[in-house]
Order: sequence, then structure tokens, then C-alpha cells
Amino acid sequence: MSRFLAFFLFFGLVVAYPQNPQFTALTIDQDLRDNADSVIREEVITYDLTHEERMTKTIHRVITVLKKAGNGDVQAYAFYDDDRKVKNLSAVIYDRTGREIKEFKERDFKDVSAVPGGQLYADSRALYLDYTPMRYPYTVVFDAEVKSRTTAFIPFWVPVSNYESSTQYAKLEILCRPEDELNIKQERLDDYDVAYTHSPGREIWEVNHIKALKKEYRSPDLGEVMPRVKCALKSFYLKGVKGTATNWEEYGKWMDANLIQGTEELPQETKNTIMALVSGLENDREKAKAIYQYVQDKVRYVGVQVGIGGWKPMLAADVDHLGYGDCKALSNYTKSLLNVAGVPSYYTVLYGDDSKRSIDSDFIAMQGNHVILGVPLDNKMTWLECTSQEVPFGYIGDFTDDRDVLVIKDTGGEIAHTTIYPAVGNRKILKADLKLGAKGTLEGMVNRTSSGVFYGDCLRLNRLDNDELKKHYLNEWGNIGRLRVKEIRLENLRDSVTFNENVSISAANYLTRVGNDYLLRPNMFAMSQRQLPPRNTARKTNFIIQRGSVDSIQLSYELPESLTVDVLPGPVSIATDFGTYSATFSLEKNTIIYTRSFSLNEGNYSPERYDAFRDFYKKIWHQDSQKLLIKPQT
Amino acid sequence: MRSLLYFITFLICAATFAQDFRYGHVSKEELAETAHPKYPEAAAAILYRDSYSHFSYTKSEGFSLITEVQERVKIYNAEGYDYATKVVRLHKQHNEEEKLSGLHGVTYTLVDGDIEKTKLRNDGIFEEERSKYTDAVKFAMPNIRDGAVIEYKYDIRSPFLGNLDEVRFQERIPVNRAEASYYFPEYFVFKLHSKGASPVKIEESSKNRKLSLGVSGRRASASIHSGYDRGSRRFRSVDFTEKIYTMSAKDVAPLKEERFSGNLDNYLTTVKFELSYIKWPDSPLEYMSTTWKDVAKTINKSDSFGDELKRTGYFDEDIDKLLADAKTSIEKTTLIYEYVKNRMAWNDYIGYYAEKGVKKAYKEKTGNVADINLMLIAMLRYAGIDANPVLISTKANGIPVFPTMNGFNYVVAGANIGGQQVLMDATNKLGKVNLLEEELINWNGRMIKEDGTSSWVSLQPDQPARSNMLVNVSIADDLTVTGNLASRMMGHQALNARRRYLGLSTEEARAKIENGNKGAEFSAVTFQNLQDCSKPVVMKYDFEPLSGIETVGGKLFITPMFYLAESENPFKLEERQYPVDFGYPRKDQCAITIEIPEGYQVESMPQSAALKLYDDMANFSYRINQTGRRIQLICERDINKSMISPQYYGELKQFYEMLVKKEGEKIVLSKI
Repeated sequence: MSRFLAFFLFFGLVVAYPQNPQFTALTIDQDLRDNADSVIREEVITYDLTHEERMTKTIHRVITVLKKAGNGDVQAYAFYDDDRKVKNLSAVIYDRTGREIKEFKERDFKDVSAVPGGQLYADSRALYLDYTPMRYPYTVVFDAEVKSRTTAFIPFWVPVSNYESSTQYAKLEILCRPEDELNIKQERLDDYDVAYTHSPGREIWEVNHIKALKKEYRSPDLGEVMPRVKCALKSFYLKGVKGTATNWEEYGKWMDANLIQGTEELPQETKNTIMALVSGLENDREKAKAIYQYVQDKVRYVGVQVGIGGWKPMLAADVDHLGYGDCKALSNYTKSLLNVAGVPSYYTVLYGDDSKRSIDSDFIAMQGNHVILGVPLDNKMTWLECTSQEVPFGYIGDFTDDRDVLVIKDTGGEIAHTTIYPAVGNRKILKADLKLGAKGTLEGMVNRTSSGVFYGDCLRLNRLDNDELKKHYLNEWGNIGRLRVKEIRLENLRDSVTFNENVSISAANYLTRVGNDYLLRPNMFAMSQRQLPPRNTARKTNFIIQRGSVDSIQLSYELPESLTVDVLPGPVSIATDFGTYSATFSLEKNTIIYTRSFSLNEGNYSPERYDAFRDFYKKIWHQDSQKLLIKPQT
Repeated sequence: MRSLLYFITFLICAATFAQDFRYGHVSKEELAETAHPKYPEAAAAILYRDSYSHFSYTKSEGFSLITEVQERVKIYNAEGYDYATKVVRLHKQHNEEEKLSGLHGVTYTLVDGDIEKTKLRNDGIFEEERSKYTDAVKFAMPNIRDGAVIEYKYDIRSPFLGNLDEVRFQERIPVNRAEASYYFPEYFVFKLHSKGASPVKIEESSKNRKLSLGVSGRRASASIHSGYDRGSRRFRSVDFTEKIYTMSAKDVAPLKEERFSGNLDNYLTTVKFELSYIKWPDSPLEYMSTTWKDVAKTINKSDSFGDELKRTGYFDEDIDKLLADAKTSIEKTTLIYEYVKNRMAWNDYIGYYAEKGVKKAYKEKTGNVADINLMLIAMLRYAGIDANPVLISTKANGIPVFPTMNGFNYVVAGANIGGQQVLMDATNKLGKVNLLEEELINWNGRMIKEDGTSSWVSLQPDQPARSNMLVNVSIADDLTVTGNLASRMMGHQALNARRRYLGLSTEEARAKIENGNKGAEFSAVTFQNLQDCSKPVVMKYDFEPLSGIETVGGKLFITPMFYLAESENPFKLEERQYPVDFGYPRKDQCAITIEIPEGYQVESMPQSAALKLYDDMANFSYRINQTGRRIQLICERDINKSMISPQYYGELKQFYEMLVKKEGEKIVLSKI
């Protein structure tokens, strides 16, 4: 017996010595592996704000990557710049059994400039772990400490790294001076059993065992589904500049005084130009319109992220000289010009994103990633997107529409809501008069008018040359056999915010020959099969239709004398909560008239409704593929 | 006569100086132009481009290569504003780096008929460290508006004497005038490579030059990457001749992007020089590259290539064990390839020079392309296999037409097994012997042998990629259609399936199939051999098509291939300037059996048909017949040649038109 025991002890020691059992991937619960590319085993994030004017973030993350798709979840990097300093950076890699494979010290991290896509320059850099995994699963233990003189941003805590990632344990700890006041907003903590403990100068949130969620078609942002904690100091520092945020008014005043004032000075020559430009114009709207056009003609968007944490706009005088800038610089420049003409306007901070993300009005803190300009005209705010050289005055489109934004006035900040594009305004109307030939050919003119959010989508067509435009239509209507695009005429009606496409086409194989007859698919311009929502078995997340819209089609097919239509299908109409669909066929002399209307409602729907939603699309697809039998005239 | 000559000279001068290309001499005419006179759709145009490369010598740095660049660009409208932001890449290596200096820029605009100048200032210039090997200087010209003309100039000082940037005489916008000149001291002999379809006028001449060198000389074994600063030779001044190349092009048409053209840069008209050899007085030639022999010699001599191939000590025990029972060459080759493939993790860096060195890479189990594939070659040679490195230029890198080292950026292993050539890339976890990634199948590869000889080897797979599908379809009384499919995939088709589906759960794979084929709903998806790269992949599933069958006037119209039919012609343009690149040859076969539903009979069926593209480049056949209550269709699509030159584009387009039409034809069933 004793010999036996000794053997086990010895064996156990040999195996245990190089291994760290807590890092093995073998012990992860099956339900955390389900749907997961990676598992956060342990993540402890601490923000130490106990020294005024300073924040020290420490992060300790143990993450197991189960497959290649999870490599991006490791997030072993740290940003730095002249305000943020990185210390104690390290990473250790373990294999699936918990055996150490490799250790990375700070000097082993790659040092690169952190210029995001579309940007010309940013003065921040990143240190990141460049590790090539040899086998899956593997585990990374990542540690970092970042010190800065900015206490204004405590990133939102969402204890899951991504869709398709689960979490075994995560903790957020905020340490501050007992006299410091915090704004705290907690969301969905109960749904996930997040434990919260509060004591003076110390806030702790902990959570265990969050299963992975699959990203599905039209899923909400992960942050809207998972538990989330937002936390900010009421009295903070931005790169050493002191600020307070107990309410929006006060916070807005601070922003105005510290970030905007003093940036608006313009050369006298420019002022004169503006005065000349607006002289004789009757009202503020006319003046604002003229100045907006002046800006659109003069400047261009170039992403340059410098200044206080990327928050202070470039001087208006510099934009005037350079003729370019980022969203802050261009909005502030336009504001300065409007100011010269005596037209008031407000620097407005928001989230630019086509998912309609709002500034959280109950959470007073620095938020947002984009800036536009608000101009009060006729008791209403007109919003100007100053980074675009092509949109009409007051058009903002789907990047900034329908959301809460923070308007900065010298009297303080205010929450406002941007333009809503209602479903009836988001309209696409396609009309075509088409002529069929005796051999199944087609010839005619297609006209499409787009308005609302669709208008903005069309603007890119204006940037294409004739060859590229041809290619565009050949691809869009590619299911028409031997399509030829002959002439294209585009009209951008900026005043009425509508866009017209006039395209003359012909096709050699429009009708499908079957014996002596032909099949006609009347609806070649409608929804393509590609738009069918994917089938989700056991859907878990809500699905969101961001914007309502109306899509209508009116087609006429003139038949040649030699052909006639067999039977016309009756009218169809489908009504659901998601939208409506209707189609009709009629015959006038030898011309088949087809109409189709499809409207979609905005909405956020629960997962169990998804099958019904897909079914609605399937029915439409089925109706759209309806064919008519065309016969020789007897 | 003499006066006539003067007159002609004057005329030429007058014509040349009509536009003044000296820096700072932008004219009102240039500014007033609202559209390019020849290409009115152009958003911008290069009015003038000049590049002047020459050598300078300093005692401390030795020779360096100076390139002076000047450009004048017209911006017609907002789509051309991107041309007002310029990025200059600077190379660095072994503690030496290229430096940019003397950057000046001015934007010219016309304001009320007067020329207004806005200077590029420091606030518009940004420096960035891109990677270990590259820095970048970026500048955004100020005050850009429609009609503006920008002009800038800068110098690049490079210690890498062999590293001359390509000069482009053609762009995606018109180039009105471009010039380049090169002054090469006789010690540095360069070889000229030019490509593209637009004419470039090239003139050669020579001139004497005197340099005072001080008490210093050159390093005896100069490498291509170093300045020539230290050494044994002592002389104070030296006379030598310089070879001068001047080249120019005028009114070069813009090059337009088309689909399936691969890398458009391959077709731009450009000129590039590569250092062939260095010849110091009283010394033997130092070849850099000039002929394929020199390329082979240089590369074999290099310590991160040739030397890496000779190392064996680090793996011999492992390989001895591995090959203990292996007998034939092919067995050994496969065992070694699989061993390296499974052991080594590729770090995503490409190149033909080892980064870590094979020994360290072997120990750490990770490395770049050369670390891994040179190690593979060394092991194969150790096992007595005739194996050699094959240099490749990836598709993104362009086509290596000239004897050059810089033209390549990848290396794979080539082995001769009983007279059969096989290629291997052990960085690809899904690869197998003789199956290279599509990105690597770019014209030919150059095999470099130990004895310094080299030869072209074809990168084309010896077998076409295959997929064979067996499909059964039945139609129920309520006219709902169900079917099942079994597909057997080989070669690149198997590789594609592995890349798409390996590691996915059944449900994920099903969703992926459904997303790629919106015309049906899929279930009961299974795979065989996804893990085992040596066997064909077999995929099976059940499906319910969402279209392909309809009742019109009491009759049933069926598209027998349902969602498997090619519904659109991929070739939409009328004409094409570049070859069509299918990547690899392929043979797809689809055999479909449809049960005729109770109570129906066949009224008509499509006719069987066959199509052939010139010289068997592509074949299509469609054979359909009825036996009893069954209709059977066998449809075959073969692409036998992966590159199809533009002269056959029209026929290829027509071929696909007919194929799409045929596959869309209907079977008509009527009630009995």
C-alpha cells in the first residue's frame, strides 16, 4: 500500500509541477463552451481614483480561446499617448492542459501606431500581443496597468467580451476617495445575478457564469443585451483640466468653456467673405444655407485625432487655412462662420452609428463618438452634418438620425433628439414602361425615385462614372437574362431631397421559352432571394428593424401582337405586424399592368416572433416569383 | 539650313515650354481647367511627375541613393480629393533607414481670377511607424477645392542602394506628363524592368564625374542593404563615368478596374531598376542579380536562405524516428510534409528569407513562410529526396517576369519524386502535397537548385478540382418538393469546403450553407473527412427548395437544377482588357434524379445540349432523359484552363449566357 501511494505521489508531482491546473481548458463547463469561441475564465478590472487627478486602471484577464474565431477576443493590448502610460504589461500563454508555453514581457509586445481606418493621423499608440497560437484551446493570462491624468472616462463595464464568448467570472472594482461622488447606472444586473457591494470609496460588481450568445440576424448590440455598469466621477479631470458633471447644464457649460471657447477666432479676410456672402439674405435659414454650402465647397473630411484626448476641436483658423479637419473641427468651423453672420448654432455631441445609439440621458458623463451642429431655425433645430460635402442642408441620414444627443450651449448642455425619418418618408418608387418583343426580348425605361434615408444611400451613385454606373445596374438586376444598360440619367434634387434614377434597358432573354409558350416573371426588380432573412433555429436575441420604409413598384408590359397572356392571377395582400404586402395584375388592351407595394414597420421584436417574420418574407418571395404564361395569339 | 534648324529647335522648345513644369510655376490656365480635355470623367489628373535618382557620397555614410520627387496634380472634383493626401513609405532594416527631407507643398486655387497659394505647413505633415520594416510620412494638402492644383516635392535618402521604388507612368487617373531620370555611377550596374502597355520613351547616355572620397573606402563584402562606408581600400578622389537613363511619357490613359482581373497594378505602365552587380575597380564583380543564375547564386549565398537550408542537426533524431518504417520516396515526402505542417504554426508573415532561423523556429514551433518551408526542404533532402525551394510571387504581389529577387515574396518546397514534380506549402494547415492556395498559383515559380541553376516550374495543379453531386428530388401530392444531396469534393473544392466548414457545429454549418444558397432550406447536414486532408470531403444534406417549381394554368413548371442552377452570368461587361482568372481548373458534375409525381406526365423537357469553348478551354454538357417515372439530368461544367486571355472574353461571356439559359429551362408536367 505504501509503495502504491508513493508511486502516485511521485507521479502526481511530476505532472503537477509544470502545470497550472486553474489555466487548463479541460475543466470548463460544457454550458460555457456551447456557442463559444472563447471563455473569460477570470477578469478583474480595477479603476483606482484615490489620487485626485489620476486614474490607474489595472486589468487581469485569463481567457481561454477554444477556436480560431476566438483569437480576436484575447484583446491583449494597451493604448498609450502623452497622457496614458502603460506599466507592468505581461502575458503568459498556457496550453490546453495548463502547461506554460510562452511568456511575454512588456518589451515583447508590438508597438504600433493606433490609427483607426479612415483616419490620417492619431497621436495614440498601442502595445499589443502578437502571438501565433499553435493549438486550440489555449489560455492567455494578460496583465496591464495604465496610468493617466484623465479621470473623465471609465469605460462601460460589460462582463462579456463578445457575441460567441462566455464568462466564468468577472469583477469590476472602483476605488475612489470617500468624499468623491459617483454617477452610477446599472442595467440588467438581476437578469444575470450580478452582485453589487458598496462601501465608502469602494464599489464592487461581480458576476459568475454567463453563457455565450450567438450573434443572429439583426441582433441588438451586445451592450444592450448583457449586464452593463456605467460609472463616472461627478468631478473629474480631462488631461489635467478639472471638470464637473452633476447635471447636463453644468457639464455643457464646462465643455463649452474648456473645449470650445477660444477655438473660434477667424481671420478678418474670412469674416469679410462671410459678411459679403450673407449680405442681402433675408433670414437665418438663408444665411445658414449659404454658409453650409460655403463650407461644403471649401473643406473636406480628414481624420486627425489630436488635442485633449481627441476631444478638443482644432482651431477654426487652422481649418480655414488647411481646408480639412475631423467632425469636431468641421462642426466647430461651421459654427464659427455662422457666428460671424449672427446665426446662433450649437456644437452637438452624439453617437454616430446606423443602429440609432443615443446619448444616455440619465447618465451624466462624457459620452459620444461624433459631432454635428444644431442650428435653431423657426423654433426647431436643424441638424448639419459638417463632414459631408454632398448632403443637402439639414439632411443627416441614417448615421445620426432619431436619437438623443447632447447640445452644448454657453448656457449649459441640453439633451435633444435628432430628425426622425418616418416610414412613409423612406420611400422607393420604381416605375417602368416595358415593351416585350415577339422573340421574348424586352425594352424600356426604368425610373426610380428615392427619398428619406434612401436618398442618402443614392448619393454614392453620383460619385460613379458612366462605366461604373452601368456595372452597378448590371449587378443589381443581374437576374435579367442578357441585360443591357443603354442610357443612365441621374437627378439629385437637393431641394426636395429626392434622387431620381432613369435607366433605359433592354434584355434578350426576358421571357423563358417553354415549348411554344413563354413564361414571364413580371417582377424582376423586386426583392431578391438574397434578402430572405436566414433561418435561425431556437433564436435567442431580439431582432430589430431600425427604420420603417415603403417600397412600391408599378410596371407595364406591352405585349407584341403575336402574343397574349393566358390567365392573370388575382390580387394578393398580406398584412402582419412587421409590415404589409400587396400585388395586383390587370390587363389593359395588350398591356399587363403589375403593381406591388411592400412596407416595413420599425420595431424591436422578441425572438419567438422571428419565425413569423421570416415567414412573411418567404410569402413575399413566393409571390414575387409568380409567373405568367404567355401564349401565341390564335 | 542652319536657321531652319534653329527654327525647329525653337518650335520644339516653344511646344515644351507652353506648360512650365518648374516647381512653383503653376499657371492660371491649369487652374481654370474644369475637366480633363481628353478624359472628361477624370476626378483628378497627374499634370506632371518627376523622379530623379542619383548617388551621393559622404565619408561617414558612404554611398547613398537620393531620389528627388516632384509632382503637380490637378483636382477636378470631390472624388479626386483623395489625391490631395499622400503617403510616402520609408523602408528600414538592420538599424538603417530611409529618410525623407525637403518636403514642400503648395495648393494653388483661383480666387476671383487671381492665383492664391496655400502652403503645406507642419500641421499637415504626420509621421507614423507602420511596422518593423516601414515608416510612413503622410501629408494632407491644405485648402483643397474643385479645380485646385497641388504641387509638392521631397527627397528620399536611402542607404539601400538596390532598392529603387517603381516609378509609375500610369495611374487610375490620367497622367499628362511623367519623367524619370537616373544617374548611376559605373560601380553600380542596374537592370531596367518595365511593364505595361503605354509607351515610355527611354534614352541612355553617360557622363564623367569626379568624387573626392577622403581616406576611406568600401566594405569588402558589401550587401545590398548597407551603405559602403568602411573597408580597406584607400584613395582620395576618383574619376568615373555615370550611366544616365532619362525616360518620359505623355498623355497616358487612366487604367480602369474590372472584375476578376486580380491585381490591377500588374497592368500599370511602370519602370523599375534593380541592382545587378557591383564592380569596384580591381575587384571581382559582386552579383546582386541580373540573370536567373545570379538570382540563384545570390539567394543561395544569403545566410537567411542558403545557410538555413544546410542546417540539419536540429531535427535529425525526430526525422529518423518519423521515417523508421517509411520505404518509398512518396511515403517519406508525405510523412515529412505532414509532420512539419502539424508541428509548425505560421505567424502570418510571408517572405523567402527566414525570419527566426529554422533551428529556433523548429524549437518554438512557429515561424514565417521561409522558416517553415526551408525547414521542410532541409528535412526532405536529409531523407534523400531531391527537394528544392521554389520562389513564388503571390497574386497580390504581381507577376515576376524578370530575373529579379524583389519580384518574389514567397517560397514553397518542390520535390522531384520519380520524375514527378510535387509542390508543398507547410504553412497551410489545410494543405496537402501538391495543393497550393489559390493566392499562390500565380503564373510560374522559380526553382532554385543547390548548384546555382534555376528553372521555371508550373504552379498549376496537375489535377482539376472536382465536385461530384448526386441529387434526388421528389414532389409530394401537395407539390412540396424535398430532396437530398451527396457531394464529393476533391482538390481545391475540398480545400474550400474545409476552410468554410471545419470547426463548425452542425447547426453553424447548416446556417452557412443556407446563407450561401438562399434558394432552399437545408437540414440533416453531415460531413466526412473534413479533418483528414488526404481524403475527399463528402457533404450530405436534405433540402427543400423555395423556388424552381410553379403551377401556371394547371401545369407544373420545374427547373430541374433548382437552386443549383447558375442564375446569373458572372460576366456582364461587353469587353475586357485583362485575362479572366478562374484560379485553378475545375470539373463539376451534378446528377439529378426527379420522381414524377402521381397523376402527372411529362409534356415537354429541355433538350440535351453540349457547349465547348475554343480549344476545350471550357466545356458544358446537359444530358436529360426520362426512364419510367423518373427524369434524370446529368450536368457537367468544366473549366480546363484557369487563365483565359481577353481575346476569348466575348466567347466566354456567350458560353456563360448559354449555360445560364440552359440551366434555367423548364420541364413541363401536365395532369394525366
